[in-house]
Amino acid sequence: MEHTVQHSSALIPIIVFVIVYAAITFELVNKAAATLAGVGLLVVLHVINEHQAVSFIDFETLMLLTGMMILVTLIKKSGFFTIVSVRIAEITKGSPVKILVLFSIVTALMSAFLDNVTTVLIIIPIIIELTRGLGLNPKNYVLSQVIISNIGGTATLIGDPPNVIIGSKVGLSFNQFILTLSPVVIVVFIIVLAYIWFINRVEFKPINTSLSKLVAVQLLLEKIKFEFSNITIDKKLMIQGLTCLTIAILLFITQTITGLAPGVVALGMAMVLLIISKADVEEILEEVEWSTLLFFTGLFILVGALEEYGVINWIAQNVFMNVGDDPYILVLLVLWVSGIGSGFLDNIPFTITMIPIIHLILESTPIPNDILWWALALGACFGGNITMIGASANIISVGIAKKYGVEISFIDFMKRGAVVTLISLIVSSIFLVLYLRFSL
Amino acid sequence: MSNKDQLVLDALFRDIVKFYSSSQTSLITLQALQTSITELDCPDEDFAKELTTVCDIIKNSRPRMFPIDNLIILLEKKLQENNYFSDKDFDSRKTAIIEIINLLAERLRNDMNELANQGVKHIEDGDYIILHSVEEAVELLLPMAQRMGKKFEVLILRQDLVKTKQVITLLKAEGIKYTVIPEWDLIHFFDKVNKLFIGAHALTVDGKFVSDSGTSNIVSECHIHNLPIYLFAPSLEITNKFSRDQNLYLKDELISVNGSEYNLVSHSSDILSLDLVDHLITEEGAVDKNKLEEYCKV
Repeated sequence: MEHTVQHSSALIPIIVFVIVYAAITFELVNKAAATLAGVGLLVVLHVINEHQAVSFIDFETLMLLTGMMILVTLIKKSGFFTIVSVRIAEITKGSPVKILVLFSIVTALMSAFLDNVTTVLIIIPIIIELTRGLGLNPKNYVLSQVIISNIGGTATLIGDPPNVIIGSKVGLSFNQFILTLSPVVIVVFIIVLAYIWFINRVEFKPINTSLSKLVAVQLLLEKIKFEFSNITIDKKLMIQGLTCLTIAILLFITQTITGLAPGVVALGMAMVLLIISKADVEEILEEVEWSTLLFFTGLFILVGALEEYGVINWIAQNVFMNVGDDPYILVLLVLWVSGIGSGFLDNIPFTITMIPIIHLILESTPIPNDILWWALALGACFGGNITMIGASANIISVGIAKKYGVEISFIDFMKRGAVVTLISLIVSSIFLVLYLRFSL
Repeated sequence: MSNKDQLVLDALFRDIVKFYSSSQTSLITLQALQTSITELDCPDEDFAKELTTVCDIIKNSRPRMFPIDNLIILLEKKLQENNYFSDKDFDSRKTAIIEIINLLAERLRNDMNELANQGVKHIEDGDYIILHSVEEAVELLLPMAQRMGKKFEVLILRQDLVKTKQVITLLKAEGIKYTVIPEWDLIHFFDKVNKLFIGAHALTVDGKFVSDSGTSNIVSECHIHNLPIYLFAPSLEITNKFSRDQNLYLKDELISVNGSEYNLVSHSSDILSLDLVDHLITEEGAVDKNKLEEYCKV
């Protein structure tokens, strides 16, 4: 790899990258189309050849994402998530605080072990029905669940795309992610939940003192049960799907013993489930988010080209390493730059861009216990909460809410998300500084 | 009474009655009231007020919904007779009121069963019956007739998609043979069908009945074609109030289709004259539609 920018020839991949990045950020064109068009341009202009392009792709990440998407699609098809959501709605008995807390716990757990987009697709419609039916403001609850899904997804290797990318490209295991990040995620989850409760405390009054509100809750639950349970429950598929997901998670946990990479496990279990369930493969594959996978593919190639031409090295040297070699400053810089950057840009391309930069920083300033990677993971995942465009789940949630007549503006989202991100990054900073202090 | 609580409950009634008949909706509401009384944790002195409030909300729903409206009147009478059980402690009061609600629910269930027994007499082999909504006929009569081995078919008129889907689900579950057509296509089926079955939300003393929106068109068309029209309703749906007091709900919503926006105004229910109905069947059998007052139980 070159260590200086090849000035004139680097100009083309830089321009292409900036245009693609702008197109993605401002949603001018489809993300996958933008990145692949950028790749096409680089190949046509002979900046890279097709063999180089393919070599830049991280297939481990793509395998993990594809496998999880297939597993989740089949479990969703069995009706499992609907049953869980309706059951949670029943348990809350319409209490606003219970709705917030129980749905937040479910959202956080689902986001940690599934993907955030699937989680919000399941949770948002039912929480809108529940809160609107009770005369509460659904917007507060929608926003809280999107934010919590980004927080919950931070806890595991498979929870959020930035973690999938970091885990695959850096070789960090499922256990390393969950053991290191879950404590900080739990603390952030509790503080953020308390903050959401505090700013909406007027709305979170108990309802069991009002008979009419209690009757409304009972009727609403009847309505929700009818609307959401009116789908076919496939018990056999549910058992098969949950068994395969459990085995996959167990294999993630025992990765150091089995030596099986998460991508291999996820795709392997997805194939096992496809075969044993005798599902219509064509139908299931239609549910896989191919545009997301192609988006990842294109981004890996674009960043690979920048790396090849020394641009990443230049950014690392001139932006990050200019601040010196104090590990505390470097860790906090990576955390906050990732946090803020991921908020205003999509956190997926941001993470892919940051990975080679961090590799270079670590070459000159070794920091123990992968702390710099944890800073990137925490920053990129939590930062996704700042704005509506920070993470895919945000955009999807706002879209679903709109479909149900709940308008959430960019400012609405940012007012809540920015404060939550600030809280998350402050907690993460304390955690990382303490971790570094005990590691040095 | 909180206006917001009234609006919330009104909307829920309107939604639930899309999935169930008004009798079934009333049973669900009684069950909801029982559970809510059990869970209520208000100051002792507020209990009677809470009960009065919720009863007023149910009786003033938009639109009014029977039999629940009459059942609540019966509940209030019992409460007043017993002075809201004010001599008892909080838990005993709850138990006593729940017991009354249980008895009312039992009464309605019995009436519904008897309505099915009476109604099924009007289904004969070879019948081709028109339906359009989830009413007592769909929930009670046709399943019973099917289980009795009667040979009949159903023509479902598609109007509201949610209602049509629920009618299909119920008929499918019972293995009843059916065909679905859009409502406007009925004209092509008058040489095949021989009966129209409908239900009601209320039968009023001025000789009218309140029914699901869309009923009016179908009843009028069938009436013109001399098709016998059967209205099945438990007598608890008969109210001594007038049709103009039925609180019909007028919905005004903004619709957006392919970039074009317009305001759609629609009523929650139809009001029709009982003159258009050929047979009024209650749990007591075929009754004289001109003597409704005599059958009113409240």
